[in-house]
Order: sequence, then C-alpha cells, then structure tokens
Amino acid sequence: MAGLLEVKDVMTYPAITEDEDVSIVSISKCMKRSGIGSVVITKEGNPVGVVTDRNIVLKVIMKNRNPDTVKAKEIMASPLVTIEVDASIMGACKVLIEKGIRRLLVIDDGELVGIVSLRNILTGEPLHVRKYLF
Amino acid sequence: MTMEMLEVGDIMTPKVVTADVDAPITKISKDMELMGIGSVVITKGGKPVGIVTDRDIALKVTLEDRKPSEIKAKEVMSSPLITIEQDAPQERACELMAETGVRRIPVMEDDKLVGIISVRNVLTRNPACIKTLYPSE
Repeated sequence: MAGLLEVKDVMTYPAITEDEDVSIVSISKCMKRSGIGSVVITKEGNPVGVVTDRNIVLKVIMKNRNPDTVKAKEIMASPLVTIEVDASIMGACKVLIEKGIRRLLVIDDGELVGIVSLRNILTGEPLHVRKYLF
Repeated sequence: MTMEMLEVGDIMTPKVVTADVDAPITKISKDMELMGIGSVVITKGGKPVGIVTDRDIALKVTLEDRKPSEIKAKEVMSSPLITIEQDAPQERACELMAETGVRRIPVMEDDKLVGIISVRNVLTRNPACIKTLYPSE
C-alpha cells in the first residue's frame, strides 16, 4: 500500500546547504554538480530559506542582476515548509499539492536530513547526493 | 469514473506555451513568469522539437556568464522531445515520468501538439494515482 512508504524511503539526502552570504553563481555551480534543483540556505548553520533554479531565473536573470554579486539571502524563499521523516508519502504529496510547491524539507528529530520533491515521489527511490567542494 | 479510465487528454493542461528555436531566452523566461509555468515547448517550423525549463535557463546563464538576450532557445533546450498521445491512459504518463525522470510531457494528437501533462497534473487531478507509482508492496 502507498500509505506504508515513508518520506525517508524516497527523499534526496543529505540536504545540500550553503551560507546566506554565498553568491548565486556558487549556488548554481552547486546545483549543477550535485544534480539538484534547490539549495537550503543557512544562517550560522541554521536553515533559514531555500534557493531554487526557478528563483534564480525570476529574481536574478529576469531582473538583469549580476549572479556574481547577488547573495543567496537576497533571493531565497522563506519560511521553510517542512515534513517529518516518518510521514507518509501520501501526506507529503498532499502538502505539495495544497501549497502548490515542489519540495519539502525533511526533518528528523529537529535536524534537517533531506528534501522530498515531486520528482522523488515520481521515481519512488531515495537519492543520495553529495556536495562538491570545488 | 474510476482512475483506470482516465486518459492523458482528460487531465492535461490543454494550453501549451511555445517558442521558436531561435527565440531568445529572455522572451522565454518572461513567458514563464507571466504564465506561472516552468517550461516552454520549442518549435521549429511550427513542429515541436524540444523543451526549455527554468532550470536549463538558470544554469546556462549564471554559469556561462552570457547575456540572456543573446542565448537562443535551441542552445539550451532538451531534445529530442519525449511525448505522449492524448488517448494514452494516465498511468502511462505516470510510468513514463518515473522511467525518464521528466516532470512534464507534451501531449500529441496525430502529430499535433495539443497539451502538456505534468507530475502536478497527475497528482492534483487524482492523488490516488500515486498508487500507480507505489503498487502494493
């Protein structure tokens, strides 16, 4: 039954993060290398927002701003929409549809452990990603 | 009506935004913003040949340091296009998305583009369809 699978069974993990003062170019590089569409933005190590590939188009490219100088915190979306790691896939799906969003941050015991997206729900498999440092 | 009987044509978005292969991506991103969409189907001589997503644009422009007004759709589009027939069952769209990892599939009828179907279409119109993706374990 669909109800038995939990968010942790299909999430992308770990959540890739960058500091709020990092440039959009660095965020794009991170997205490309890790093959992901969103980066969680942190302030002093705590998650405070998300930058997605779409954010970059609408808030940087469309506005003719320089991706080298715009910082993550200037375009990130907040507040964060989260879900517990042991929530059902159906539950995650419901939240995504109701809110019209594509991704949820996955929380385990107060800690950010991954992201669950419409794509994860489609593929039905967990995806391990890594952050490349250069 | 049970979900087994639903066809792609029943749940697709019947309007598709298209742009020519030579259109600058500034025009395409403007369309995306105005229409609230994440992809535009690219045509050549009126025939669909590829698709450009918000992600394609974000990465191309920021990483190659080029002016968006000088980049044409054909340089960033994904091609060839994965398409589906209007009368295919919605489960087929679901399977195709799961197999290929694409979130959107242009819908054809006799070689004509008639709509687009997305993950969101599938899950929103019939959340129970998730069971197609997760058959009983």
